[in-house]
Amino acid sequence: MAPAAEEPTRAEVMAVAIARRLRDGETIAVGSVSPIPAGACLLAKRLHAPGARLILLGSRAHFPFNGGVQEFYNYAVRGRLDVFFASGAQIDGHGNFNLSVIGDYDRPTVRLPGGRANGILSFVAKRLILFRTEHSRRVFVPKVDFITSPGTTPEGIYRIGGLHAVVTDLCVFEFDRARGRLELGTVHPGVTLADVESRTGFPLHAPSPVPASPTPTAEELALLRGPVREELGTFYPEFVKQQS
Amino acid sequence: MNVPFVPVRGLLCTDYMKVRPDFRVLANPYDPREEIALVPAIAPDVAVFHGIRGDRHGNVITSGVLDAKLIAQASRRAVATVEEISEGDLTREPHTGVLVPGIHVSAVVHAPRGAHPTAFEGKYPVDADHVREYVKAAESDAAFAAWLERYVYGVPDHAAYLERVGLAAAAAR
Repeated sequence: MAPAAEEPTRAEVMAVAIARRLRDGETIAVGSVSPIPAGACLLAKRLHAPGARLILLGSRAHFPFNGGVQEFYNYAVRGRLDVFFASGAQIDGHGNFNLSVIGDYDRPTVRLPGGRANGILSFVAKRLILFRTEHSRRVFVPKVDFITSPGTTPEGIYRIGGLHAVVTDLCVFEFDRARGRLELGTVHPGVTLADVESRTGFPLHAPSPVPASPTPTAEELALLRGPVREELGTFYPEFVKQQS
Repeated sequence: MNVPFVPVRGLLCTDYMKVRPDFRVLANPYDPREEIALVPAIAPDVAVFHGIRGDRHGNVITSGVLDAKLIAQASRRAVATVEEISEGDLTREPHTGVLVPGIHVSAVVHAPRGAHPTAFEGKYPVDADHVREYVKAAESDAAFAAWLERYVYGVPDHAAYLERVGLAAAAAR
């Protein structure tokens, strides 16, 4: 285990920013290919949210169903998820995100695997949190190529949940549902507003001054580098290897 | 269920409604204030899934994280590949995992390490090197054709495949 005094990595700052948004007693689900949110859940469970119910796809210990993904899905669409995590290949300032295709749908340059669930789960999970480790203009675009999930929907469409926040390697955006736009919430330690601005492809709405994201405590870092890392390694072995 | 479509909450206002003309919108007949998406049923000819054990009655025990029982019931025929063949009747044995009853299964195939290169139920881990090789091959049509030739068309059967990926000895254990 690394000494807690060692500077936190960007992944650790993201995990802590996410973990502190999770509350005790909540039902929290994390999809596949999401090691940072999964680590954040394991961290929160060890600190302030021991009663959280975790559903971590890919983990044997945290998949409380035996009827496959179908059973998870049926549970989710009943509105039982307090929090759900997804990534976003493209995210725009209106909270639309794309996890389906880059380019034209029929002849895409990249076809992505996230469409099958997110066009539905983003309507029913109470707080959808997006995470993205690459904060750049190719991700934070003026307009997404394809709307996998809309930020807002008109009345008359069943929607009991939706986008809540976006956590990146630079900052946290909060989604203001009434205004239908992302607003800069906090910037991570060592990051400036100008850094975020230069790497975001839509106009920023930011408070002045911009608050700083939480600095990980020694206890949080010790847990992340010890037991959380060990447990995460049972279902994200490659990710854990890359973090050393 | 044998229904031609199902209503789905969600999807509306996503671009799936634009690129999939077979996805429709209907006013909920029981509450016309609500608009709801309809999607057509998928009725596969064949389902293929992997299991831990299978018996000669077609019963298969598989992982509870898979949708095997669902796809077996949705399809006209279902083929199970399994790590082990069991001589008895799996419906009469205690087990962990999920039992897919033989009435849903058309064929059981003995295929140890059949989930390769993915992991299976704690029995073996993912073959990360092989997945990396696949990802690299998927970057171009020529490289992918070569991958298919090496691991699919170029191996006459499962035993030859295991030989090629260096798992013949592990599978025989």
